[in-house]
Amino acid sequence: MGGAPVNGIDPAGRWLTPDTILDIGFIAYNIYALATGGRKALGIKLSALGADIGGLLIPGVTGLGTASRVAREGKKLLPFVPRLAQGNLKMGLEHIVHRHWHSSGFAHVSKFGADVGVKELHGIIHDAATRGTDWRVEGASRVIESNVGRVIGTDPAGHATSWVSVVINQAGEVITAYPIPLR
Amino acid sequence: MLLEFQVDEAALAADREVDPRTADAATLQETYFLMPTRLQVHQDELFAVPPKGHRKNASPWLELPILHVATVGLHKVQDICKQSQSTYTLPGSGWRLRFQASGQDILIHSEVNGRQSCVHYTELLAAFEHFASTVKEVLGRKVPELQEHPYWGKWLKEK
Repeated sequence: MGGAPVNGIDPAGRWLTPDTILDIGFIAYNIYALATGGRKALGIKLSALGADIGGLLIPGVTGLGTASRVAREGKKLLPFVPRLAQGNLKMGLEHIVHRHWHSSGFAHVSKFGADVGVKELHGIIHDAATRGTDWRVEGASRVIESNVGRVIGTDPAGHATSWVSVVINQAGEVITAYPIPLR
Repeated sequence: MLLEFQVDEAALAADREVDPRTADAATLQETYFLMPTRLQVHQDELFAVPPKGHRKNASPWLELPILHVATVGLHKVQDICKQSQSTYTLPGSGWRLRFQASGQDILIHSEVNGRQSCVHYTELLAAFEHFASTVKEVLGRKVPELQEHPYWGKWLKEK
């Protein structure tokens, strides 16, 4: 029984349910955090408070404030990692294999090493996105250059390199990725 | 100075097989329309890749996506005015062209072959603008369906 049917506050027990009590607790915590935490992460705290008030009004739903806080703090902490799709000869994995794989026949083109397979390529792109500085806007594309800390192939002059360039579109999909000269 | 490209009909035909009208805008910029491109400043061929092995003569032509050179390359040249320097990273290789201003003179350093050459800013800008207008004219004529592209169609129609 979540309510207080005996004293008439909530005779049917429909309002003071366990999730409502939890929401009240979360709201109290958020008000306390706002009152004592200064302006640090003010936006996150206000969002969490708003989400918990929303949770209070929706029966059976609780913890929205916590979810909001995790989502917003997580957004700040987790780096963006682009998606490598199968693609075609012009973009994605198929393009990279066609043009920048160790077995590619193109001249004056940088190439991944013979030990780089599809799984390793995913790792290189992930490392580039997490180690690199900022994505550079170049017309319709976004580009990141990064030192992934291990030799991944050769630059267009045939020199071994640990640097890679990853180019994505506005949807966050990889267009191409290839080793570049040391920076 | 000279900035020009050769029309590679085989590459154009291959590009048109993957319908440019529906292709992603960034993909068109990066991997479509790869054409031999040449940058010559005072007899210095800044795109000539040093030859390997027994070959003595380097080709002055480097394969580049011409939409990239015509847009991103031009913007990098325009940026020289704001910052006194600018860097254009060549797509597909990572080699860079570094522009350093000294008054109205621009020193261009090419990482393709380590050469550098100096040119007046107005001449440099005019060369890139002419390149861009030539790309518009050639692609508008040879790939007319590109004019229907939501992003590049507008660019092609810009004066």
